[in-house]
Amino acid sequence: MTETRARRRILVVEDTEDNRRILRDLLSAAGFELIEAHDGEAGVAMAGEHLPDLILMDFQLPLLDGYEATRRLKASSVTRHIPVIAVTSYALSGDEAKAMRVGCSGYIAKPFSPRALLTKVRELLPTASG
Amino acid sequence: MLRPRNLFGKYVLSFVGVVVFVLASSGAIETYFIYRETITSLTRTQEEKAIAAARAINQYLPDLERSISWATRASSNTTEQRLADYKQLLRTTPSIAEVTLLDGAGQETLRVSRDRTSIGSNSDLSRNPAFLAIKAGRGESWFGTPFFESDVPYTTIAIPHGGRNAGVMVAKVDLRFLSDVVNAVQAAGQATTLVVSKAGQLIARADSSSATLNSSTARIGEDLSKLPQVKALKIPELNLGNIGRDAKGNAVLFASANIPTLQAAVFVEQPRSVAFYPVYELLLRLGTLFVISVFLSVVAGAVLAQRMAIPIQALKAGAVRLGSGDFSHNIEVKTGDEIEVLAHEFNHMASQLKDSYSALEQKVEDRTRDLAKTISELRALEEIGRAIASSLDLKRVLATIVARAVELAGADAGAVFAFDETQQRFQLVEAHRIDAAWVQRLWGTPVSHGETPIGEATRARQPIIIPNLAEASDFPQRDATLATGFHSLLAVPLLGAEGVLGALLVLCHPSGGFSNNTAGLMRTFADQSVLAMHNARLFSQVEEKGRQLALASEHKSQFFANMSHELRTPLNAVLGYTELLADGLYGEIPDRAKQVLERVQVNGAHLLGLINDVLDLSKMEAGELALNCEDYSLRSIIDIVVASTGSLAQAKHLALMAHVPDDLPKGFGDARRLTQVLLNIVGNAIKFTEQGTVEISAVAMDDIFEIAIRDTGPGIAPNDRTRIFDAFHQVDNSTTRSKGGTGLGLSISKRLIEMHGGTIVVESEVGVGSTFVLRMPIQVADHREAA
Repeated sequence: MTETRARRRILVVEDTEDNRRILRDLLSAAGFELIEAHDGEAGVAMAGEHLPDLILMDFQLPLLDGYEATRRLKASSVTRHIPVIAVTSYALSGDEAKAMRVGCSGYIAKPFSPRALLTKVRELLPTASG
Repeated sequence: MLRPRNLFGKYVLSFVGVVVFVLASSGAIETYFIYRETITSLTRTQEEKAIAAARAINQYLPDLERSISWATRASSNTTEQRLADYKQLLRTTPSIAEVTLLDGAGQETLRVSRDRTSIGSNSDLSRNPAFLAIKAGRGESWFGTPFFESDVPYTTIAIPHGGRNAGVMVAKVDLRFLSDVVNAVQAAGQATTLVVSKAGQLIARADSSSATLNSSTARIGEDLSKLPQVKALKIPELNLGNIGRDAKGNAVLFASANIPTLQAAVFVEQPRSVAFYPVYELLLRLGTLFVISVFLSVVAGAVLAQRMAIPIQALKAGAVRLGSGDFSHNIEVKTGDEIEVLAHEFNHMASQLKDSYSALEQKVEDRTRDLAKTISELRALEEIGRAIASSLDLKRVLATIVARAVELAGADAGAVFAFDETQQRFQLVEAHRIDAAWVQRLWGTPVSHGETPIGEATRARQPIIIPNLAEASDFPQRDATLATGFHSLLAVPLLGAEGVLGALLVLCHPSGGFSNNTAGLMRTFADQSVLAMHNARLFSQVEEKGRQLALASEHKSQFFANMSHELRTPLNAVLGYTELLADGLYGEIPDRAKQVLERVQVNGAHLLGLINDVLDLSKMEAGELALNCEDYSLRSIIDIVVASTGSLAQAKHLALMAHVPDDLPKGFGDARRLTQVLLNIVGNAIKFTEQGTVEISAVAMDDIFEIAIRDTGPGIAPNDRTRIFDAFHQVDNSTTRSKGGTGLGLSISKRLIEMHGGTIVVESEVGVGSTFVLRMPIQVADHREAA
């Protein structure tokens, strides 16, 4: 966490353009700095590179799915501390528990209400510098 | 005594026993009679002798007295004369030892003996017993008792004198002369005659020649009073066979007689050994006879027993061998009696047994062969059955069938064909002990190419036997088959319910290789083959179905996941953009547009509900939905439901009430699904009720929760009360739209409650209201799948 950074940085890992845009519009308007990845591998790479304050992780992703990506983030000492919110459209029973098991801090089912998501993001952001 | 165990011993013992008994009893009887006779005659003889001796002695003394008294009377005047008389008397009568004359007063006047003469000694003998006896008597002579002087026996005879001065003459008689008297009586015989005084002293004796040698002879004067026979003199009558003792204590047989004048007795006695000599001799004779007889009887018994026992032992040995199953043994007995007849019967019986045994053995052998055959058939059928049951491989099953068929038919080769309907030809499936290519080339011809035995059999629908190919009418395969060395064949059709399935063919090298029984058996094999073909077909179908089902199931699961994702992703965009628009993120929105955005949001939410419900229901139908069970508080669930639906009720001016006791136990189940169910039912109640109340009440009874949701709505007609739980049903389809339901809620709720092991029922009265009652276990058994 760098003190030089003016805004809180959120990494969105999402393969659907519309969903990325909704999040971008919502979170930019709310004053966050947004970086985006289209798949799991890119998400893990960007998280290590840019060290965001929070990650919104879709679980249905090409190349590397959200579970595996989260497991890798939590396995690395560099990215372990970054809270991850699972965003999934599976909505099958046990999905939330599965997400929590791999180390997610929160869980939001699609379709989500942008308002509710924003609340959840604010709730889970580390308060150290915010 | 050792009991004889065998027949021989018994025979010998019985024989000897009989002989011994007869001899012993007859010997005893004879001995007894001889003994009696001997004793009787001996006793009589002895008695006669004794009486004779006694009489002689008795006679002797009075004779002596008469000669003394004659001498006395003749010289009754002077002493000299008397002296002379006495001397004359002594001279003539040697037995008189001394004569004494006593005067009337008992004074001795004269005493004359052979060596001395004393005159007028005047010795006073008035106290002499002889004098006293005469004086007391009536003028009769007196006989004194015997007495001894220097071991010589004497007696006294006193004779009274007549006249004035009546004196008494006393003569002393030497009794040794009695021996002569007795000896005269004795004459012959082996007896000893004894004269014994009353006092028991031996006075005289006479011995037979042999008896004198006897050392047991007693002295004269010896006291014999201790001898039993002397003591017994007091017994008035003597019995036969009196046994006494002689002076040395040897046993003697005796008889006795009294001598009144001498006051003595005569004993005639004989040593018992001598007296009973004839008896002893007899006994010895009998004993010898006995020993000889026993010896002879033992020999005779042994011989007889041998004659009896040997054939019987032969019988016994024969019976033992017969018993041990040796029927060929012939019992050889040539006794000519019943035993020979018995032996003959034994031999007869043995031969009968032998015959029936061999007949029985033959039968057993036949039956065993039959059984073995049956067993091998059963085993083959069982093996085929097992092959059919355990193997899905038709080729393998048919291989087993044809191999067993060939084996049991006693054939040399076999093949099984399947009938190919489309090509109208038999296709070889399996060949056994024969070249498959050859079979297929020769027999697998199209039906149209001419008649073959297998084609004929399938058309005739029964087995066909060709016992001799060389003589059979021609058919295409005949010569080729003959050339391979087969001379007979059997073709059996494989007939299923749907028609001809194939054929079984068995071939035999020699001609005439098949019987009708074999044909029947092959038919069974054919039936089994048909069954196997059926099974194989069914198995493959089932297998295929199973594979498809597994695949379908896998596809279905994937499909649900994909559908969920694919439906929600665009809906997420629609609802997300709408909300951002409505929130003015993209700038100010005109009021009219705002209303449209609201409609978009409502319809989007409805669409989401529909998608969720359809997915839930589909997952339940497919058994994909699982409960996520955990501990829950029913009170909290009801609070959430009331909170979520409170605004809806308020908008319609309905009273929404919940009655939940404080002490409800904690439940175990899927709280999210239970909330979903209650939201659905309470939401429905509020939706359909125009005025009045909606009440939620919960109680715990035993181990179930009972939750009732009562409303004052329009009620549900009886016909509809079960149908409302069907998917896609609402009482009136038109209401679906107006009430904004998917029509799936109750159906999903019912299934969810059933997954919890509970029930949901509705009680309703049209125009009054409805009550939905949920009953379910407080503690749900975990891992319930959708029905």
